Amino acid sequence: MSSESTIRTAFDRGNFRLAFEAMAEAYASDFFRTALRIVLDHDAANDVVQEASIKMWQKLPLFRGDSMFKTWGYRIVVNEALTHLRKNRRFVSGDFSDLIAPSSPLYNGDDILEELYRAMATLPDKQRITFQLRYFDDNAYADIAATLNRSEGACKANYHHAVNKIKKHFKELNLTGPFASIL
Amino acid sequence: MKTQPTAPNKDGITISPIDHDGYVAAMMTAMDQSRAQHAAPLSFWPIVKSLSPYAIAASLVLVVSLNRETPHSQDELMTDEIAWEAVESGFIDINLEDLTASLTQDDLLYLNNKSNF
Repeated sequence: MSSESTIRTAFDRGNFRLAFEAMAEAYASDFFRTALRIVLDHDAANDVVQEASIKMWQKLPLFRGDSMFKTWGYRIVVNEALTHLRKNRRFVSGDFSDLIAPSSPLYNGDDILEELYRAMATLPDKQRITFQLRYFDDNAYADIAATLNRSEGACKANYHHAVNKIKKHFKELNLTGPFASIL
Repeated sequence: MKTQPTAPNKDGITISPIDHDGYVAAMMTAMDQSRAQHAAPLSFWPIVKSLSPYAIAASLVLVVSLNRETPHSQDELMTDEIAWEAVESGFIDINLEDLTASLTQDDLLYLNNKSNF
């Protein structure tokens, strides 16, 4: 039985604790990963997932089943991460050192990916987050627009601005070859 | 606890099964803390959804009138005026999700008990 089916079965039976537990087991890492990419700090990402978990638990009985549980939880995490950014603006360093530091136990990327993170660090938040939601999570523009509460056109524009800036960054480093395989 | 290791992702972040278990445990702890602070959530949505607007309005008037002696906060959602308007017009300008979210569990339990009239 798939994760979604397990969650759905427990949910339909009114066993919200079991549904929540199944959701945590299936998606906890994805939720953390998403939060980390937005807030750029391990501790902050933990806080974000914790707050999001409380909201998920409280809102679970009201979930109307019009999306996958993963999508629903993901939106709560992204919104919580954005709230964190707004509240802690001055504490966000704007770099990805927590992710790409050689000592980071989580990062297992290559040099090109590391350069991509460096390029992303130069982007404004709106462009950076839109780019991440589109590029890393393969979200459709309509989903990104719903998650970020913006128009689809604005999200497309943010994404394309981000891509152009990243392309420029790679071009300056003469990394056009490997770059083509990234975007 | 069952582990579900994540495959290396496009973003280069790899999460080990042990870390995954830690994140699962953190989510469950947050949920348990929330449960300790509030009663376990109950699904009243199917009940509320099945009620007609008239039944909801009448129930709300009943709830308001029964709680009339209780002091209310200033940001209370349902005032006597709104409840009366709802009865008169048979229409409440609020979606059911917001409505259920705004009511206390006692109110919802009361609606549940009265839903058969």
